[in-house]
Parts: sequence; structure tokens; C-alpha cells
Amino acid sequence: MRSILVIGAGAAVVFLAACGHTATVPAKQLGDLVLHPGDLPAQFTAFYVGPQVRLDTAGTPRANPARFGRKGGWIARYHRPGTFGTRGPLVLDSGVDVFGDADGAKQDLSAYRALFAETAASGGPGAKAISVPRIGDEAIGMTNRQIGPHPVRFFVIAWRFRNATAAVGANGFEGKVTLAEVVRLARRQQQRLASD
Amino acid sequence: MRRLSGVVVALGALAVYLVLFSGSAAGYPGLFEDQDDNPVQSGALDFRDVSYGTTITECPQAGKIDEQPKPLDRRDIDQAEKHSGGNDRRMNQDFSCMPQDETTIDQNPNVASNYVGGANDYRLGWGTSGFYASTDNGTHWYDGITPFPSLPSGDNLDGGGDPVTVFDRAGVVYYAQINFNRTDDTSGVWVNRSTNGGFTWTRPCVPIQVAPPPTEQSRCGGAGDPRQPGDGTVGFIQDNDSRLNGSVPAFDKEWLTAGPRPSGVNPQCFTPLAHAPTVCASGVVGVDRLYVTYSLFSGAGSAQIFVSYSDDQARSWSAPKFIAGAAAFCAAGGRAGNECDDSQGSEPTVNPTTGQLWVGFINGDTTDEDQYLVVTSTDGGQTFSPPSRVDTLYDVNEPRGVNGRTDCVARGQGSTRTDLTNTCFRADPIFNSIVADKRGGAFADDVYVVLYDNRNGTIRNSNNDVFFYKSTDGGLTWVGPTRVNDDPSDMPANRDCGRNTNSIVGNAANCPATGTGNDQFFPFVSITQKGNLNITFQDRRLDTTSPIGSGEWPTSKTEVGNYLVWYWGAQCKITTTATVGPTATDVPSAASQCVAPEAVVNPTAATGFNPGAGPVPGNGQSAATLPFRNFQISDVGSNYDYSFRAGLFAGDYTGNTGGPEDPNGDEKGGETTAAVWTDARNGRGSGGPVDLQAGRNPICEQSDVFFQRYNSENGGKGSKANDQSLQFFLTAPCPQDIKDKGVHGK
Repeated sequence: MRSILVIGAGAAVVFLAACGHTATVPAKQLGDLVLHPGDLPAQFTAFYVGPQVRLDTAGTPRANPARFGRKGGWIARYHRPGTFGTRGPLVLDSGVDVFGDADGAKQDLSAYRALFAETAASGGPGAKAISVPRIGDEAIGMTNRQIGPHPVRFFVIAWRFRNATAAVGANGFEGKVTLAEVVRLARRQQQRLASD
Repeated sequence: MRRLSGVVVALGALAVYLVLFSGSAAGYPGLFEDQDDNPVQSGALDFRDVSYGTTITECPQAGKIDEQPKPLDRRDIDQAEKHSGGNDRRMNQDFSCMPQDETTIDQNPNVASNYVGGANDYRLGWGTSGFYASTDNGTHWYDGITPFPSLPSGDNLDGGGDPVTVFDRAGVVYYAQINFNRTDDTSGVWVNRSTNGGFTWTRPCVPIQVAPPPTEQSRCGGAGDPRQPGDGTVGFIQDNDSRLNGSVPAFDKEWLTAGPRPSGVNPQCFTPLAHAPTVCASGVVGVDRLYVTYSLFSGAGSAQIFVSYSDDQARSWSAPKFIAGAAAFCAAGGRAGNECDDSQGSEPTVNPTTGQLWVGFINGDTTDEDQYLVVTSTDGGQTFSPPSRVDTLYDVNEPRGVNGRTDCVARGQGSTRTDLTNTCFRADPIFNSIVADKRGGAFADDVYVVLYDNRNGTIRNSNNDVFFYKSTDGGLTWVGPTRVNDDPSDMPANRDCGRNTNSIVGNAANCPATGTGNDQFFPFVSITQKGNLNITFQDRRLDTTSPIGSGEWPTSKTEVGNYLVWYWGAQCKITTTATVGPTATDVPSAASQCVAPEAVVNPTAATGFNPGAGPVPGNGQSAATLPFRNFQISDVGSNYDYSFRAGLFAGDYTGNTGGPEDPNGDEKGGETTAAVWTDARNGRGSGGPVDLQAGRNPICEQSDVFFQRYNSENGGKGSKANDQSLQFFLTAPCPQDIKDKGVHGK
């Protein structure tokens, strides 16, 4: 009887491992594919978690909710209290879009690339595309600097994983938020995509 | 055997009955549940629509409870609540902690103490149209959600918004709104009707066609539904693919007014489906003609402005008529025949002595800045004049995500929306305001417009001001702008800094840091029978010291001050008039009341259609000679970061109404104005911990509808609160402690 249980557990491991390497990211349970409160420092609270709405992409190359065979999308937004002396990001957003196939996701990442280029072209010297470490199958990034007595620094990393695109955006005051912090968050979200 | 046969027959008859009236016998498993104790199927099976509408409004048992019970209150009263004193009245009476915003109000012309307001109301968990009724001058309010329109599918259309409440001269009050689905493109415009001062409302009906065309035999619901097919349905389009993808035209931003039919225009009723003219049934013709204008977004224009009218108290509506017209100043839009098809935010208004109708709206068929246009009809909405151009509306240089406000995009605001300095709520000047003079004679062709824009600000530092315009020749010629708000507002050195021509895209880093003033926005104008103009608006002038890098959203609060919001009023009286025609160059003294010395005739004649970096009319007006007396209405400051959805939306407009204190009094009697606005003094932060309060709503952000009433000519004595400190409203966290205090106040 005991050997049967061991065999059963082994089969379950093989089965789960096989599930972890399916060719596509399913368009179900989209909420599991974005950052959760447990992925973040305790000070952060969510102020919107749910399906993406038109407002999230209005006026951008990604505005069409049916673009490139898109099946659905989700977004979670978090923020924390602070001042211009607070270290780390103060506002975060974590989004995901799932497409019918990898080609749709590739086109969506191209749309991200066009959006980043547009922003860099119109956003002044503080806005530029940046190279980011590999996350998922391919990743791109940009940064921006919003002027003011205490300038605000923005980082956005977008990447593709199989048939999905994902993005993490973060902002905090200049000198208090780093790209490395945002990369860590993006990698945490990628773990969610890869484990589904 | 014979007995058994009887049982079989009886059971067979029962089975036939069940098949006929319940769909199938197997569909009623609970029929014999008493014998075998099976669980009873319930839920959706037992729900049945009541399709009788609400046309009976005077039930004997209605409203017998004089005092509302109070819920158990487990909160601590926090500092913001302790400092929210004063005499403003909250109109919504719900305990849901969900937002209300986008406010409207009107006063019963026959019962002066009867006010009826409306607002977007989220108490159910999503946006609907809330109503608020008072019969004691706003001291106490009854409230609720207007009935949803019924659809041919048998369903309700339960997403609502864009509320407008208007009384006709008989004291019947109407509630116009859009209703829509959030998961597909189905939408329409409807008007509910109340004959008891706004306490109960009809349920609109999209007719169900029961015979093939061309007959218009139709019904509303099942047998016994007494509603008239089409009652309250101005326009409706059912989606064609059950997806939210813009596959069919979409209704938006309707407005409603009521006024007498012009001389020679007879009452006309319409069929429910084709909206073809038909004979009116006896007893349904109202004293006034109702006009609804709205925007229709489609491939033909984004959007076109249409009007429909009703003579039978909103029971039937004329076919939609395109009214925005065509003009050379719309040529840049590239539409066929220079049609002004890129329009929004229409509002109709009627002179109550002649029935002349005007409709104002914004338009974007321009080479650069937007424009505000007005059309008029003297035959009850059958034909309209070409549009006249009131002025340029300088809103291309509003701060937005695409020109520097990335912080607002990160919070979820659309990148093309207007974001005022330090905040992210939607502040686009979509809805402005127009009102016809109420008097006859020489005043009968006088009409007034207020709008707001950022001509005195830049994409880095917003400084929206409210401007007043008047026409004394029926809407053909306009005199203005006259700045309404009298706080300091300087001319920017280059109002176009950092932006590209004919584009909202830009770079705020190219603008100097200097702020030129404070924002005033969401204005509304009314006029009384005695010529008292009352303009009300949201105003940030009292916040000059709130610190940067603080509050709920530190990376959005990057400039000192200009953060909290109050509601303000402005008054001026018009007692004389004179015609100012299109060839005039000066304003005669009889037409100069409520006009700033710097105002000009046809202000856009000086700037053309691409005004450039400035100066433009409305820049540099001296506060010392502005004609409108300003005063504070709301008692305390309001933090719009605590309005709907993390401070992204606080409505698109506010409202006020004016009338005699005593409708039956003589002309020496006083007049009162009542103002309603979106107020977030009861909003709190969404910050955690969120799991300490069992049963708390997931968000604390909320705004309410507030009311204040004052003398129309000499009102507005300022705040009644003892403490005007700002700090309690800059950051007000969601309550965390639970203390069983029992019933509040006991």
C-alpha cells in the first residue's frame, strides 16, 4: 500500500512538472499572473485589482482590447504612503495580457516598444529606452523623469512569455527608486507566469 | 382499478399543467419535497420581474415612517469628521460608503421648498443614477436609485450616469440619464418621470415589437404591464456582437430642458418604434416641450450632437435630429460639407416666454484649440441655425499623461485625460453651461454661456479659470470673455510652452516652474426671473500652503498648494440690455452689465482659429474690475484624491438652480439659489490594513452630494465651519479601530 502511494506521488510530480511546461499561458485565472500583496513589502496596499479597462490603454498603440487575438488582461495597482525621502517605489502597477498564440504576444511587445519610443521622443531628456536583464522570452524597458521641485522617477519593464505579455511599472522620488528594484518585481511576476 | 385510474388521470392532468405552465414537470423538483425532505430549489427560479413600472406613486402606506433607524456604528470619529462642521447638507442618505458624484438639481416652480437632485451613485457597487428629493428646502432628503429601463430581451440596463433633473412648469420633474452595459456596447438615453416631487419615478420601457413591420404593435413587459411602449426611451441601440468593442454607435452626455412650445407649434406625439408623428392620447400632453440633446459616438463623427423632443411628458419622443450643423470654422475636421461632427457636452436651454431653444456644445473640428458653439431653433426643434462660435476653448494645453503627468497614468488615469496640478481626477472641460434669460421683451433673445479652460496656465502648471459670455442678439454675436473667479490669475509668458501645435502631446519640462494661479472648474450658470446670474464652480484658491511630497499620493503632489477643493459661487445681476450685433465693435452701456472692461465683441475674431502662444482674450484681466462677486459655498475643503477609484473621477459637472422663495408671492419677494456639488470630505484613504474591519467595503474612497441654499442676489456669506484648517483633509486614513459603540449618538 505504501509503495502505491509513493508511485502516486511521483506520478503527480511528473504531471505537475508537465503542466508547468505547457506551451501556452492559459487565459483563465488572470489574477494569478500579476503581483499579489504577498509579493510586495507590507506597506503596499492595492487600490485597483481587476480586469484591464479601456482607460488603461487609451491613446496608446495598445488601445484596442481585441488587438492581436487578445484573450484578456488583468492589472493590479498598489501604493504606499511616503514622502520625497522614502526609499523605494511609492506606486506600482503590474499587468498581464494573454493572447491566442505567441505571435500575438510578440506583436503586443512590439506595441509596447512603439509606446516606449513615442514616450521617449516626446518626454524630454529624462525619458529613454533602457536595457533590462532577460525576463521571460524577451524584455524591454524605459525610464522617465517627471520634473518638479522633487523630480519623480519612473521605470517600466515589459516582457513576453510565450503567448503573454506582462509589465511592471514603478515610480518614486528621484534617487530613491532603482531599476534593480523594479527588475526584482518583474522577475517575481514572471515566476507567476511560468508556474501557471 | 377504477380508483387507480382516477389517480393516474389526476397525475396526468397535473403533469400537463406543469408542462404548460412551468416548462416541464421535471423542472419543479421541489413540488413533493415535503415527503422526501429534498432541498428546495430556489434562487433564480423564484425571481420574477415586476413589470408594472412605478406609475402609481401615491400608495396609502407610503412614507409613513418619519424617522430613519440608525445603523450600529463601530467607528471612532476621526479628526477630519470632527472638523467637518458647518451647515452644508448631504443629499445622499446611504450608509454604503460608496461614491456619489456628477451633480444636478432643479427647483419645483410651483412648490419652492421642493428640490430634486441627481448624481452618479455607486451605492449598489457600480454606477447608477441616484435621485435625491426634499420638500423642506433641502433640510431633509429622501433618496434612491431611479428604475432601470426594461429592454426587449426582458433584462434591465443597469449601468447609469450623466444625470439631469428638470421640472416643467406644471411641477412634473424629469430625470434624464444614459444607461449602458459594461460588458458590451448596448446603450441609450432615457427620461424617468415623477409626479410627486421626485420621490417615485417611472420605469422607462424599450418597446418589444409584437407584430412585423410596418405595424408598431408593441408592449413593454408581460401581460398586464400598464406602461406605454417607448415611455421614456429617447434612444436605444442594442449591441450586435455582445462585446465591448465599439461595433455599434454609443450614446453619451445627454442633457435635458423644458420650455413652452413656440407660438404656432402644436403638441406632437410619436410612435414607439419608428418615432413617426402620431396623434396624442387624451390627457398626456404636458405644459412644456421637453428637449433632450446627446452625443452619439460612431464612425460618422466622434461625436455628433442630436436632439429629440417630447410633448407628452416623456412618453414618446421625436426621431433624432442632427443639430450641430456645418460651418467654415469646422472645416479642419475634414468632414463632408464642413459638418461640426467632433462635438461633445451639449446642453439645451429655452426662453420661457418665447420657447426659443439654444444648444451649446464643445467642438474639436479645429486646427488647434477646441471651440464652443451654439445653435438655436425658433420652431420647437424642427430646424436649427448654423452654429455660432462663442469662443476658442483653450484646453489643448491642459496637463495630461501624454505631456508629462506620467504619475496619473500609473494610477490608472487615461493618458489623454486632463490632470490638474497635484491631482489626477478627470478634469477635461467637456461640460460647460448655457442658460437663456427667463424674461421676455428685450431680454427674450439674451443667452449666457460659462466655460472653463487653461488659457491662463500651461501643461506644467494648470490654472483653469471660469469665463462668462453673453449674447443679446439671439446667439449670433458673443461678448466676452469675462473672468468669473476673482482670485489672482496671471498671464503665462507662453501658454503653449512644451506642447506641439494641434496636439496634446508635449513635454512639460520645457515650461517654467512658475504657477500663474489656481484652478476653477466644473462651472454651472443659472439666472432668476429678476436677472440674478448665479455661477457655481469648484475652486482651489484657498489651498496655497499644502506641502509637496505628502499625502496619499506623494509622487502626484509635487507643487506647493493647489490641492484641496472647495465649492464657490459668483453673483452678478442683469437689469438692462441692448442688442449687440455682429458688426458692433463696442459694447453699449445697457449691455455691459456683468461684462469685464477687457471683454470684446466676438473674441475669437482677434485670434483666428490657431491662436498661438498668446496673449489671447481672457489673459491679464484685472481682478479689481471683474463684475462677479465671489464667495465660498462649501464649509470645508475636500480632498479629491479620496474621490472615486483612487481619486481618478469626481464627475464632470456640478449644478445650481434659482427661483422665487414663494412662487405665489409678488415680484418684490426674494429669490434663492441652491447649489449641489461633489464633495469628498467624507472620503478616506484606501491604505491598509484593510482586514481589520469585518465587513468593511473594499475601498474607503468616496464622495458625496452636498447642498447649500442662499439668497440669489446677496447670498454666500462664506463658510459656517469653525475651523478652516487644511491638514485634517490632506491625509485622512480609512478608520482601522473597531469599537462597539452601539447605535451612533446613543
